Amino acid sequence: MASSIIEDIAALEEQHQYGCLTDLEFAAAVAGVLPVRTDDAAGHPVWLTAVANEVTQLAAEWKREQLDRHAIPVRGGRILPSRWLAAVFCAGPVVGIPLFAFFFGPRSHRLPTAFGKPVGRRGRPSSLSC
Amino acid sequence: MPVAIFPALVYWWAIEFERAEADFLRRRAAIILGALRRRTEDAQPI
Repeated sequence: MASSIIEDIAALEEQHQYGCLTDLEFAAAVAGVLPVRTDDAAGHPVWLTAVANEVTQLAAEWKREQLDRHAIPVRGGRILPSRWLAAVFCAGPVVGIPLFAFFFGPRSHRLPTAFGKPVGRRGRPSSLSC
Repeated sequence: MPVAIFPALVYWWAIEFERAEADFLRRRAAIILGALRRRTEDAQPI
């Protein structure tokens, strides 16, 4: 198990040395290879266990920070903000208001007026126009 | 007003979140690259 992780890391290091992976991609790939469970860490070298623990601790801190600081509280849970969410917030009213006008606008002249009866487009009572 | 303010607020929030995430990724990369570099230096002493 440990040897396969070390072999994976060595392969990734080779790709990193040849420039196939950037620093961030390389680190992300290594973080993906690192063991998640602590009980698997028995046969690992010290440096691998240490870096796995450090990365796990940092990831836990980031998860906590996500929930405490960055997540938007909504009813029933929290969602993380994104540009897509902002676009949806922006597009919602832009699309929704014309749609509402499209579907309900033609019938708006049938709404009851202050005098009680709905009025047609040309001021005639709508009961006569039907 | 809310039509303009809410998306701007969410966009600003998303930018802050992306910055924090990039900072996390940089810190994680620094930890991993530093550990691997130290291991290499320990394995090949000058």
